[in-house]
Formats: sequence, structure tokens, C-alpha cells
Amino acid sequence: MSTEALDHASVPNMTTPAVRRLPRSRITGLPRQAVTAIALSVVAITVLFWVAAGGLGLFGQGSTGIVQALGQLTGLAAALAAMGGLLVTARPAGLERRYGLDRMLAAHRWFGITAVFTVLAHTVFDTWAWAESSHTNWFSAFAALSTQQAWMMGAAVGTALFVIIGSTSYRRLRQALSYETWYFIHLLGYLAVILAFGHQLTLGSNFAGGTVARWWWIALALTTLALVVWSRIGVIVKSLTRPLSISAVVAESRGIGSIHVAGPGLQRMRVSGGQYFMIRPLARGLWWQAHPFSVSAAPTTRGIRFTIKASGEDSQALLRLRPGTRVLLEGPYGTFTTDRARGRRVVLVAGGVGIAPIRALLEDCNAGQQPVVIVRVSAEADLAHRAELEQLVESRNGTLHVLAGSRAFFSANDPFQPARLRAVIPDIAQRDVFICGPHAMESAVIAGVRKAGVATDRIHREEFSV
Amino acid sequence: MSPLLRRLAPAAVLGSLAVIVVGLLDPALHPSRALANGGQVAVGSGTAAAARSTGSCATAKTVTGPVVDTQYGPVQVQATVNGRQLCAVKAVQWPLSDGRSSMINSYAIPQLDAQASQQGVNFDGVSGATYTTDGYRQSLQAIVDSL
Ligand SMILES: Cc1cc2nc3c(=O)[nH]c(=O)nc-3n(C[C@H](O)[C@H](O)[C@H](O)COP(=O)(O)OP(=O)(O)OC[C@H]3O[C@@H](n4cnc5c(N)ncnc54)[C@H](O)[C@@H]3O)c2cc1C
Repeated sequence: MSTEALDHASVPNMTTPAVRRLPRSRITGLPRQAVTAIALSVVAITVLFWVAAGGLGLFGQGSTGIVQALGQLTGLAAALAAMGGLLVTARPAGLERRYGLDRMLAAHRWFGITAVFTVLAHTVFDTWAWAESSHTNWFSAFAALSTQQAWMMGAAVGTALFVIIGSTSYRRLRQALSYETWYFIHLLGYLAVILAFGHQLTLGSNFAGGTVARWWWIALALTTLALVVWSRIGVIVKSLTRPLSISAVVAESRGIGSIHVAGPGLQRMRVSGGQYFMIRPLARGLWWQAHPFSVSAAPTTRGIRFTIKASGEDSQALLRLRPGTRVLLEGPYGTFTTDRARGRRVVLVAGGVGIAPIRALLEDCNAGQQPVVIVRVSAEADLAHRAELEQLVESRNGTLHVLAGSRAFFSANDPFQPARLRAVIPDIAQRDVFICGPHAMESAVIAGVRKAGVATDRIHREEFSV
Repeated sequence: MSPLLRRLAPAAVLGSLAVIVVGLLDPALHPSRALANGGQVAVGSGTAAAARSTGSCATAKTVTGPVVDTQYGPVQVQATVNGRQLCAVKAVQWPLSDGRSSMINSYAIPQLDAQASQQGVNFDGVSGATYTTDGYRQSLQAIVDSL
């Protein structure tokens, strides 16, 4: 089993012609300008339909009119934000390759928060408007709206689900739940959006009746649905058509092991160092969840290696898998690759198991990039793949710095102070910096290298926590 | 309980609850307040339903009435007829010019559809939506006159 691991280490100067590296991923995301243009036109067209339906005129109709106008605008904003949020979590390939997981998730968070608050504002404004125009109190207005209007109970329940989804994502509550419990609750977002759709067509003053606006709205919803289904089902179908299984499980260092995945499914795959897959083992009790793990060596026709820290139940279970177990790999995902450096010299910084993607990035570097590798671990015994790192650094004209010490030690002696960085890497301002490690460490490194003169767009990070 | 069930449970309970509440309480799905759908009116009882069940409306054709302009906007109805018999009536256009009209009409139109399908031109009407009721009646009258 461990000979497999050694083979990976010797890939750079491979001797067997039968083993070759899998081609690197193509980087063909949608152009940024196209994404911005599409997003802006969707918003603009929707607002224009609202204006054409007399939306602006409401502002001239006294306080009730203004409340109605605000109710309509917040409703439109909430619906658009919800659609945007669904679209980015579906991670269509064109967006994923352009923006990467981090930014897609950040966008999702932004859309989600916007949707929750605008839908609440929409509820308040429309209850208010209804109470004013039918001369009742807010309570009866709310009751009348949700029990007598077509699809309004759906809207009310959808809103409640949105609030529940939003609050379980609030950090404190989120940490109290297991990842999967939180995730399954989050999936109710699809249900919420569907339940709330009906009232947009029956009550939405722009969209009720056989107007062009109605068709625009339906088309928008169907397009979002199609993209979500296409991207989500697409990756699963693709992973199902790739026969792959565990070929070896190897202990690497304290608490860290690696799994090797091989099989005929490798043939048509393209993967770059720094990318990751969602691993779904087809084993009892494990098949229903997929966890993200980065490739930790350049994938070859012999196999793909993942380096895994036994941090929780499921990562431990992965390291206990028997060779021969079938696995589905969804991906590859991610834009944390050497393409970002465009051939410039690099600094690669890893903390803990962050070494996995950094090790693979290092292998994708050429000697001209003179990679400086900085690895932070709590003790030397925790460092995985040390021999490989030394060998790769040497063949690529680079250097390796291993910083071993407790977190307390490093917070007292910050190794990423700009002065220290410049002393060790005099040309740091001309380099691209790749960082993968615990959140606090990534922030410290980013602060340090920025002060040392590295431009923001040359700092690249991968986060392991979602 | 297996880990899957344990983690799925909260979401499954919430999701089923949501579907049940909407299924039982949403006016769009509630039989006594059913809406026009697919060109036919699903009324809980009354002549349209009875007529459909006897099959005499199975070969009905659709007639569209004229657009009637009211103070708040146009109203237009469509009826399915079998010979001189009205099978079902539904509005295809109603005032949406402002938020208020659209709210009132989204409430009134389903009622008018149900009433007209059961009672014909002399339906009761919806108080609080007089203009829409009048326009509705005129457009339907024109259809009946043309038969
Ligand atoms: C892009 C990316 C690449 C990664 N690469 C590696 C790697 O190469 N090596 C490595 O050891 N770890 C890697 N991780 C982290 C790894 O995915 C988590 O440690 C693992 O999922 C933990 O699962 P668990 O059940 O063992 O632990 P738990 O204790 O159940 O989870 C711990 C935390 O891990 C995260 N997590 C759990 N499940 C998922 C999931 N399905 N999707 C996203 N996040 C999840 C959550 O933040 C959770 O709070 C990576 C994470 C990401 C996002």
C-alpha cells in the first residue's frame, strides 16, 4: 500500500512511461463583464416592467401609495435575491470557474441575507398597505391576506422557512448544529422559493394577467430552475459515469492520512493542482454525504491522492475505508491553481492540513517560479509529506521553511510580520502568494504580505471551512 | 436512529409541516375557494360542475367577450359554451393599474368567476369591487347575446 504513496512522490522524475499526469483543467469561465451585464440587465428589465405598470405613479398617491410602491419593490428585490442565491449555490461551471467557491459562497451569503431582510420588509409594507386600504388593523389585514388570497399561505410559509434558514446560518446557531443537519435545513430554501412563487403571479401587480411582464417573470424563474437542475444533477450524473474506487489508504503523520483513488474513471478527467473534489464513498452509512477534499499531488493515470486530517466523524470514516470501496468524485472544483500566478514567482503558505493543496500547487510550479514554501505546524510530527516537499522544492529551485510551534507561541512571535517576510523573501513584493490554512492564520498571513508590498490581486487563498 | 435519519429529521419535519399547512390552508388549493384553472372553473357544487359531470360540456367551445373599459381599467371575460348553455366563465383581463386594484381584484375575480359560472349573467356580484363587477357583467352579457 505504501509503495503507491511513494510512486506519487516520484512522479516528477517518473521512469515508467505508462504513468502520465492527467491534463490540467481548462480555465474557461464566463467573462466577468458578461456576468455583470447579465445581472444588471435582469434587474433593469424587471424594474422597467415595474415602471411600465405604473410603479412610479404610486409615489404620487399619498402615504398608502408610497407604502404600496415600497412593498412591490422589496418584493421584487427579495425574489431576485432568492433566485441569485439559488443560482450561485448551484455552482454552474461557467461561474464556478470564474469566481471559485469562496466568492460564490460569499455571494450566496449576501443574496441570502438580502432575501431574508427584503422579504420581511415586503411583508410589513404589504400588510400595512392592505390595512390602510381596507381600514382594518394590521393583524386582520395579515390574516385576510394569508388566508383569503391565492397562494398567500404559501408565501407566508415560504417566508417563515426563509427566516428559519437564515437564523440557523447565524454563526452561533450554526456551530451548535452538525454540518448535515444545517445543510438539510438549508435545502428547504428550494421549497420556500417554490411556495412563494405562486403569489408573485396571482397578486404581484406587475405579473398578474396576461402581460409580457408575466412571461418575463416566468421565463426568469424557469431559467433559474433549469440552471440549478442542470448543474446539480449534471455533476452527480458525471460522477456516476466515472468508475473509481479506493486503491490505498496510507497513514502520513499524526492525525493525517491519505487515500488514493483509481480506476477507469480517471481516463477523461482534467485536474489542476490546488483543485478539490466532493468525495462520496459508496459505503454503508456514508453514501448520502459528500465532503470536499483537495488533491494533494498531481493526479496521474495511476490515481488521485487526497490528504485528509481526521477532524470529525466523516473524515475519520474516509480514512477507515477498505481498498476496493467505490467512490464518487464530484468535480474538480476550484480556481486555487497556479494559473492565477501566470508564471510569476510564488510563495506558498500552508497551515496544518492546508498542506494538501499547497503540495499539489508546488508540483505544478516550474523552476522559473522559484517557489518559497512556508509550512506552519504545531509540531514536526504533524507535518505530512515532508520528503516529497523537500524533493519538489529542490527540483524547482525553491526553498522550504517549516515553522513548528504552538498557536500560542506564534501569536506571541508572529512569523508573518512584514519585516521578517522581507528578510526571508527579499523579492516578496514581486511574488504571488497562495495561502491555505486555518482562518486565523490565513488572515495573519494576508495582513503581513500586504504590508510587505504584495498586491491584493496577487494574494490567493483557499478556505477549508464553509 | 441512523446518523442520516437523525440529521434529516429536523428538515424533514419542517418541510412536511410547510407542505401540509399550505396544502390545507392556501386559498388557491382550498376547494371552497378554488380558482379558475386551465380554462375550466372548479366550483365545489352548482350547475357548472353538474353540467360537466353529465358530459354535456365535454364538447364545449370557448367564446371571448369584448373588452369593457371601467374607471380603473379594462375587464374582459371568456366563457366555454355548449350551444346556448354557459359551462364556465372566467375573466381574462382585469384592472391592475395600481396596487390597490390588483389586490381587490385578485380577491374579487375568483369569486366573480365562480358566481358567473353558476348563476350566469345575473350573478350576485362582489361588493367593494363594483366597477369590476359591472364590467364583468357587460362583457359576459355580450357573449350571451351573441349565442
Ligand atoms: C474547498 C475545500 C477543500 C478542502 N480540502 C481538504 C483537504 O485536502 N484535507 C482535509 O483534511 N480537509 C479538507 N477540507 C476540509 C474538509 O472538507 C472538512 O474537514 C470535512 O468535511 C470535515 O468533515 P467531518 O464530518 O469529518 O467533520 P465535522 O466535525 O462534521 O465538520 C467540521 C467542519 O467541516 C466542514 N464541513 C463538514 N462537512 C462539509 C461538507 N460536506 N462540505 C463543506 N464543509 C464541510 C464544516 O465547516 C464543519 O463545521 C476542505 C474543505 C474545503 C471547503
